[in-house]
Amino acid sequence: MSPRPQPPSNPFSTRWVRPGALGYRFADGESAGSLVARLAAAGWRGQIVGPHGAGKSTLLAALRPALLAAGRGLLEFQLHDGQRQLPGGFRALRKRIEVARDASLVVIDGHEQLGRWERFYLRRLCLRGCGLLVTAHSEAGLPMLAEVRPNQETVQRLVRELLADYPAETVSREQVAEAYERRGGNVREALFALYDVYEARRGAAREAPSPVVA
Amino acid sequence: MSAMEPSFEIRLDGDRRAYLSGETLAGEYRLVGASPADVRSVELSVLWYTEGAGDEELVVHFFQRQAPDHEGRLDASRPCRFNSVLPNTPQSYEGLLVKIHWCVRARAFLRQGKEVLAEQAFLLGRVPPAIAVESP
Amino acid sequence: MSRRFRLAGKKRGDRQTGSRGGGSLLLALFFAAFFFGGWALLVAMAQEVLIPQWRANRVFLEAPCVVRGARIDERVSDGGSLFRPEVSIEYEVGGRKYTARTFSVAHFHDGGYTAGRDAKLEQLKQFPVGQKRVCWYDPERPERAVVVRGFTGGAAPALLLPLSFIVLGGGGLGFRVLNWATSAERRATMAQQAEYALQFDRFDQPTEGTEFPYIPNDGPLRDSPGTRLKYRLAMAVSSGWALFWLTAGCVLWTGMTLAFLVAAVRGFLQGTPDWFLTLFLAPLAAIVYLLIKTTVRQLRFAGETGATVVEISDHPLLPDREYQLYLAQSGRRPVRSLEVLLFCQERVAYQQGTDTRTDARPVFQQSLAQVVPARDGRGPACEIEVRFRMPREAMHSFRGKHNHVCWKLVVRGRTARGQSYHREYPVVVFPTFHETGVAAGR
Repeated sequence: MSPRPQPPSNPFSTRWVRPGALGYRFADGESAGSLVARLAAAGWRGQIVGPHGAGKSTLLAALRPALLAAGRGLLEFQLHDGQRQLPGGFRALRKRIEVARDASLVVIDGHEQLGRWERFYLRRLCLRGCGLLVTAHSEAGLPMLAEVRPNQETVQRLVRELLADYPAETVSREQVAEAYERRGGNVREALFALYDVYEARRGAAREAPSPVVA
Repeated sequence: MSAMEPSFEIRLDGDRRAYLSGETLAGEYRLVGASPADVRSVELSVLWYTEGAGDEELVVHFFQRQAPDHEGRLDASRPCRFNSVLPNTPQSYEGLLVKIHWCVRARAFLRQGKEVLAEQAFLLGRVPPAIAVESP
Repeated sequence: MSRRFRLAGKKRGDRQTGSRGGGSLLLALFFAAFFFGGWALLVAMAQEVLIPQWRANRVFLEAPCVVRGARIDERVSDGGSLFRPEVSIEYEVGGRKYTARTFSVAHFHDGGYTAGRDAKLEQLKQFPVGQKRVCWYDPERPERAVVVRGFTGGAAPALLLPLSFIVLGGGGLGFRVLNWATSAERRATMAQQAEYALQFDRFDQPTEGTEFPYIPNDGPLRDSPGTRLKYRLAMAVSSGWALFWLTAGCVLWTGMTLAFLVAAVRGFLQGTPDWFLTLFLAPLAAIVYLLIKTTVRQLRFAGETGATVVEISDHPLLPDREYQLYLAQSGRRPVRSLEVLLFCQERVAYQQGTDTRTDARPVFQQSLAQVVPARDGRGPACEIEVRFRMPREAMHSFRGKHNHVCWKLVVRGRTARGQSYHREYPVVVFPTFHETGVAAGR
């Protein structure tokens, strides 16, 4: 299976743009390795901050191999809407930390979902030698590892990579710019908007007069 | 020793690409370019998966696995037959937000952590692509 | 709310300027004031009125007494004179004689003064001097006794005010606190999820391991027989409970406001207007007006339009098959127009990071019948009978974990007053029989 989308698949389908499928675009001079080194220097405590759809989860996915290579055992949690507590509760987490000892790193994707008490207790729990890396929409009280603030040029590059095996006229730069602007800079929503653009184009092509195939 | 990268050849009987529910999907597959000593296992699945604007779903309808012999060798270069009666649903569908694809997927696990993957798509049913309409 | 307080937030088009946090804080303070004010009022009422009255009724002990005097005690205030009856009694407890100037428990807190001297004189006529009668004394403080007891008429309705403050303030404050740290996107996606889940409340889990896997189970639907055709379809979402709670809330609030209105009017009639109460009534009356207006409109709509009965000749539906549909729109008045559509929609959910995104897109729509009904005589306001054929190449219903293809019958109407409404009746479409071939027979 090709790692890149191929026609006629919609290149903006979730299978091609979800975190892990779409690589994170590091700023010049930065890499997964340099960020992990920065995290280590901060005592394995850090936060990745950015608005909705900016790519925080994508960055986390990009850091995962480097974190594992650095010898950290990852205890990962991805929190969704309404999840005010960690799955399994803190007792289970404490047991896992005790087993993993100092080499563990608790990773919380969606730190802002937790209640105030849970956030406080989590920070205290992870003071005992275990690291803590979170993604959040705003300041979470941890050392800043990365601020994810995409810009239009990032999105344009992302789209060019997705469309590497597609005809040049599939989606224009102007359409990408409009999708990005109309979605208020939310990269994920801009990609979904381009999904609709591609489907509309494909639908129009389907309805165009063509010889009837028996 | 061949310098060719290992790859799969998947062939459906009659070179068919379209089936109806209840029909038998039959064919054969083989792995070329790999030494039997390097192949740890070979798997074949008949599955459907969704693609589109929602979370992907994948359901395996048929699964077949080849394991090495007592000497640790697996010669997957010989064609291996498979057949499976296709279910009634879900049928292949080219929607706007939801697409349902059927395929035969072959995967080989080689030594040193390498994998070889190949797919052969086919259609189940005769549902035409969806067309956008306005909401009522 | 934050948009109404310009200092806290201001909206221009799709953009919101100003402080969203400031708006939330103001809103939280607004609800907090109601909540804590309600509790303070409830506590004060309990201490001053309810608890003393309850003790007098349940705890005080009976003792014989003699009436030694009776008079009207007058207190002059800014709004005029207020009066209360006062009776002097002698009684004995545990061998010790007590005298007390009393009437009801209100005397203990120097209360009980109200307008209307004549009414008090009438009450005192029941206590002629020298009469032997019964009094009730506080066993903890025998020097306290009353000659009348029971709950005052206004105590129960008066409780509605602090209770409603507590409910409204507590609910609003709780909502603000819970959503303090959440973003608008999170709240929007929670709402989307609720709506998304509600749409699929009608059917069971996908039927894995059956002859037609990943098609919704239509068993509940086939358990609902029709009167004209084989099956009666169920509406996707019922609005009955919402109407019930709206009506109950309106009745409660109106009753409470009326109680205060009566008290205020009485004050004016007696020449002792209570201006604070009168001013306080203004916002309450405004809320009553809005509530009544909304409730009446909804009740009128529900009564005028009534239920929409939709029945079908067979179910599940198959492509390229013909079906009969019966629709009866009841109501006191005929509807202005009615349309039935066959509709197919794709719905998806996608969880990325911490967000859940849902989307829906229509992929098929066909108007089955469109009528402007004329009503004659009794019976439903409108009846439609129509035959329709399912599209030949219709995609079957599909229900995965995150991806759905849903079919439904949609009824669109417009009442005689021009109000439009929209009701949905989910149906299940199976793949066409001839395509299922051998497998269908297994």
